[in-house]
Amino acid sequence: MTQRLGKMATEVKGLIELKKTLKHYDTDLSVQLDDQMSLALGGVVKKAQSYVPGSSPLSNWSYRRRTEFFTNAEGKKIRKFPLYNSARVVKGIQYSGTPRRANKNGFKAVYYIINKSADGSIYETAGRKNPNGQPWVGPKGDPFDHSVSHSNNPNAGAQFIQAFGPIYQGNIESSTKRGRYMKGRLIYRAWAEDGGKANAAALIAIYNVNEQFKKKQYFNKVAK
Amino acid sequence: MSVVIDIAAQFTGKRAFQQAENAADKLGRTVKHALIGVGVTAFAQSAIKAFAENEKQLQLFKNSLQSIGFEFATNDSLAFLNSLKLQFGVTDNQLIPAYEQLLTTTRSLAASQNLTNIAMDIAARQGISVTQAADALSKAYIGNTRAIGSLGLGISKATLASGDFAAIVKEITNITKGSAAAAADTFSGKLSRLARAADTAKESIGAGLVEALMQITKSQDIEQLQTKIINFGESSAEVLTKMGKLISDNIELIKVFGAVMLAGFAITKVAAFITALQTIIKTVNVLRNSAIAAAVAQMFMLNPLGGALMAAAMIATIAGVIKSVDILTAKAEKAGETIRAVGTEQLGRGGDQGGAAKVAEGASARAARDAKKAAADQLKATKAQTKAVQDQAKLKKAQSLFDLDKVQILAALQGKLSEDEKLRLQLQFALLTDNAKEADRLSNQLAISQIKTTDLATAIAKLPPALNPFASFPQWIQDAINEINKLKFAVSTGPTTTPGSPVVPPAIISPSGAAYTPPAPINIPTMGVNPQTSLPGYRDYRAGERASINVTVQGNVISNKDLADTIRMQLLDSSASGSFSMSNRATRGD
Repeated sequence: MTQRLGKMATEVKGLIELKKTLKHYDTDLSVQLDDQMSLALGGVVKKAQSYVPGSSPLSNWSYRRRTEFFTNAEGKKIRKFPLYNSARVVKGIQYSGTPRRANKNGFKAVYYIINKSADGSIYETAGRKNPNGQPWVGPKGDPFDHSVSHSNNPNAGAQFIQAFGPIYQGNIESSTKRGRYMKGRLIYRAWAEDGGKANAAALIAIYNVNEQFKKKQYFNKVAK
Repeated sequence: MSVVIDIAAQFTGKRAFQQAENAADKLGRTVKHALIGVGVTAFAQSAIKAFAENEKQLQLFKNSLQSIGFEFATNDSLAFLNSLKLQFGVTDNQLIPAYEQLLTTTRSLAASQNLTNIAMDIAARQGISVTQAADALSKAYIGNTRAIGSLGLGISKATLASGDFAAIVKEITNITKGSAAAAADTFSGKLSRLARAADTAKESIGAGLVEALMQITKSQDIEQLQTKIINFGESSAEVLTKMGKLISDNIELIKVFGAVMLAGFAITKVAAFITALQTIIKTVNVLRNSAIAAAVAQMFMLNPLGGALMAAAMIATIAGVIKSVDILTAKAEKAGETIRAVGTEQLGRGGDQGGAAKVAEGASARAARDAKKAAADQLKATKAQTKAVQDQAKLKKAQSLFDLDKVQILAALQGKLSEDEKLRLQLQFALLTDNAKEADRLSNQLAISQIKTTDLATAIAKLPPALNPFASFPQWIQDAINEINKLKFAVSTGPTTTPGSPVVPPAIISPSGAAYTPPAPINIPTMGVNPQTSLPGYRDYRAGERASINVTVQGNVISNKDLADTIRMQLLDSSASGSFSMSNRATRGD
């Protein structure tokens, strides 16, 4: 039922169908699966939440009341750089069993741990691609180009990343993603420290529920 | 943006793959339609339409070039645009207007071609049409940089403000270089390129078809061809009706003919019958095809274009007729086989020994085959039944694991139980497991046990009532009271004793009347003091040596300290009122 693919999570064929079937025909097993996934992934989520700093690593990055958008000279609405809100970051770290949209390779993540908030994602991944910050172009650069730094301070990127502290490599033995795509300070750090136990528990839970469902189906069939 | 760790995923199909599949299906359907002739008209119409549109566009393009004095460059420009179209998968609808605008603005073939390439890069990078990009470039060329600035390419304001087109182009080139090539190299880009190739092919086919139709109809132009096509549509309806009637009539004829032939042949001439029938069907087929061919030929004579299209349309009808004939042939062959079998049996009965032996052999072989088949069926049925029984047993076993009643009984049996309770549980378990023998045995045992229990209850019921252990208590208490009274009486009536003389207890008659024998006299030692007169007086004690002193304190006295404080305050009050007192042991302050 399971198969590991390059650069993907473990592929579980028919997982979406299994979830739908359980939801409609065997709610007990569906609840059991949810409970077991909660046990398997909840620990990593809690651990990741514990790594969220209580206050902003940079004093001027703290959340304060302000308008979140501004309109540029051409009348386009542009979102401002998000401010750090510790509670929002903690709330945004979750696990989920709701299938996401398929990615470009056609794979749909069914169970996943997610760092939802924009500020949380920034804290998680800052310095992953450019350890010394993005190339600096200054405020005159294209405002829609998010791959460059628009700050007045040419060293803003480096200082910003430096304040966050080290970034951790989140690879575990079973990870198929490698390199910077598995680096982070919150969920990837917790994931690496878990050492693959949560991953194994989640897959075993799916396998067990599937087996139980198959047995039930077999018995029902034979009984008929 | 959110960061995600995927735990479990499922492959649900690639959107690009689906698009490709859809495109391939569509292409396949188009080709299929074209090949089988069903969609030939639709395809031809589409191809002709594409050709016409392309022709119109080209004509406009030529006119435009002519108007600016570049008529000589038409072929070169078209070759350039065609190469771009196939290389990057961009449609003529975008390319030709863009190129036209750039050429009109720059009036230079080299510059316009170069700018077309840049426009394609911009379009690919920003996700806009080539026409829009070319429009912005054209405006920038004449000094209006607002449009190019609004594309969001990241050109510095200084460069834009300078209005230096060369500098702007240089910056744009630096930013967008290779975007079009990269986009064309993606799967989507490749699909677009394929689509452009298909469009070109379609246009060519359209051109060919139009040419062919014009040649067939000897039309001088498209308008004349259209008139002829309309005329053909009207005339072909009548011909088609005639053709349909002809075919339907022939089908009935074939059916009737076949039936007559079947009835007419004798059973003993089976082989001849079959051969004859097949020959007849073949003949009919040939005739039919000839008839259809004749009709098609007639159509060609009426209208060459109609003849060509009718030929394609008639293929489907012919296929239907052939299918009907094939069905008839198969039925006829089957009928022939049956008749042949009947014939051989009849021949056998007619006295042909060899034939009879063969029939007998055949019958025995058939019987053996039937018996074998029956045995195989029987075996199969037995296997199926065995499997069903096994499945039932498995099911029962599995169900027993989850049978809560049984589980509870087994759990209860593990605990400490009386013999009777144990029997009851075992009997219940036997009933649940359908174990009749065990249930019978246990029920008998339980009945015996119950009878025993009933006897015990009867015996208990017959027991005399239990004695009241406290029944004698009132008497004992009364006796004790009597004894106390005796003592009281003795004390109140006792003699006056003098020190040193023995005390003789008086004779006492108890309240109950029983004689009381007093014990022997006891000598009480004298203490040298008259007990009546030697009691100390109140004044003989000093303060603090009396037995108890009552002190009334207003307020709460909880601890020693409270008491001491209260006394001290009283002493101070006394001192203030003239009754001074002081105690100072340490310094002998008195």
